Amino acid sequence: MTDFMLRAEAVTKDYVVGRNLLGQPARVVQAVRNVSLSIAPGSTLALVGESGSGKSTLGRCIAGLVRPSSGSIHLAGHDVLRLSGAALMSFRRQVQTIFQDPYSSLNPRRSVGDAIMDGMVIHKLYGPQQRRDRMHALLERVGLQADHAQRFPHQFSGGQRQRIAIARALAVEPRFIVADEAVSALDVSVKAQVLDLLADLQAEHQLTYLFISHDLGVVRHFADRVAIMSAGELVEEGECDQIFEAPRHEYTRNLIAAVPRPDPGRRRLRAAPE
Amino acid sequence: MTRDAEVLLSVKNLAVSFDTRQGTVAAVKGVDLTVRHGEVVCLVGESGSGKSVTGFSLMGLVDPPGRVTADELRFDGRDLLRASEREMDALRGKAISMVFQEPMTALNPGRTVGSQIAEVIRIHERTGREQAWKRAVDLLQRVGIREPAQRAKAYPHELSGGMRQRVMIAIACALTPQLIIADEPTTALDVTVQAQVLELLFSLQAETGAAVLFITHDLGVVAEIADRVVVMQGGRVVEEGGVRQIFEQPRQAYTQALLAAVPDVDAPRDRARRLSPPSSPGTEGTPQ
Repeated sequence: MTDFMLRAEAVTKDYVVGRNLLGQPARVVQAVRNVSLSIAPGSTLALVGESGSGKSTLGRCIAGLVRPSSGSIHLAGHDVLRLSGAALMSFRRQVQTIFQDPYSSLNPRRSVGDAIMDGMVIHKLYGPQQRRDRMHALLERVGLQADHAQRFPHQFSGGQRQRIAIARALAVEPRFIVADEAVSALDVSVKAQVLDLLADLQAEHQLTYLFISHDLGVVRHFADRVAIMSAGELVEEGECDQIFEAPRHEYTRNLIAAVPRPDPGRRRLRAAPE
Repeated sequence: MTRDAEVLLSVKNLAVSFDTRQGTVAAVKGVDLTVRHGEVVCLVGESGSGKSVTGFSLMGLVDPPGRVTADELRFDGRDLLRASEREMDALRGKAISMVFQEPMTALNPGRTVGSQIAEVIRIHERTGREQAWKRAVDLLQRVGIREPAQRAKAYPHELSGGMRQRVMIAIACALTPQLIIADEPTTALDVTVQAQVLELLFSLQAETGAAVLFITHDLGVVAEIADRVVVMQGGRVVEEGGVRQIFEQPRQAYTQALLAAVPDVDAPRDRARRLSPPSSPGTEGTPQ
């Protein structure tokens, strides 16, 4: 039964967007409808969908940042809907989230070194000197330098800030990482480097990833399994190559077909010159 | 093959720099660029390559402390280097128009989309209010917006991202421009919406014969639409060529690396495949 790092069952998240005169919900939007998913330890599940598909809301439910309206989520040995006290602290350490824009998720007034050490302090991991050594080692591991520790987030490029966010997540020895559009804002070559880094770290630390993305090229390259969401529902889920080569649903087929290919021999919109 | 081969826009040794307290920053360092009538040229590069500043400088939209210099800047036979602000105003929005990445910031949030399209028409042509509004509604229909008469009365925030970009395209195409400069016009859109917006833009382009200077970092989009590709890095052109040559026989190492870094949506998953060159951590530069 412990074959899963994550097991989410019938997860639903409603948002009340309007109330009547009596204060009762008059309009409810179902951001996530009855979604069930599981992820094996050490693997990557990509959650794919367009804006408004509910993929980020589901990711937040799984990371314990948003409470689902109904359903159950078991992650890293925790019942996510019944977390409190020591179990909540342990969950917060084991499950880390990396967001799209590290500039808004890093505190602009805290040095990069402090930002990386904060988690270790909160979770009472290591002694003061070990924390410092570990922070320096993490900076180097993610492709930065130990002497960058005194600098502040605004002194770094987008790709470097995302490396800092990764170092910060890794500092507390997590088992599960939710990466919500973590490489979407990066330039092509920087995106490639950060994806390679995430893959190496997964192998080194046996990390399990929930990789939320709208970029199908990145997903094909990075994911073991793929779940496609649309309008809050799970359209289909399967092994990566199967989803791309033999999608069962028309929605998935259209999505894959809409990706522009970097191959002028296959263009559809305009004829290529000569 | 007569008019097609004629040069519409010719730029020689374009340089754009910004004076800052830390000194002068050169964003564009001597760019040559040619766009022929009806041609689709893609300006490709990563952040900081100077591609957007190049596009803005062609529209005369670089404000002080930015400085634009060039040996030549000719559009349709006219010397833009010697054009007065009034002549530029007559050109901008009419013969040269622009589509920006984020229509939510490019459009005025406090005015209906219909009035914003009508405004462009009234600025450049002697048209009555009613007539301009009618043309705005027609344009909304042409860019594929259903119930255009109702939608014309909508404010930008009432429309989806894809619809807003259709409105931007309606404004850009309102006066049948000869050149459309499109700066990452589909980058913020979902892939299916992107496909629809590109289809719209290039069906209008085919209809009107406008040339397009399309600025993007998305090589998939480039392969789909370009006649010719100009690759920029660090304010300079590193390679230029026909779309097939660039994708099939890129000559420069930078172009080759850029193409290799794009994950292939059609290639079976290969856990061992790396996207970045082996010695690349930290190529984003050192922090300031």
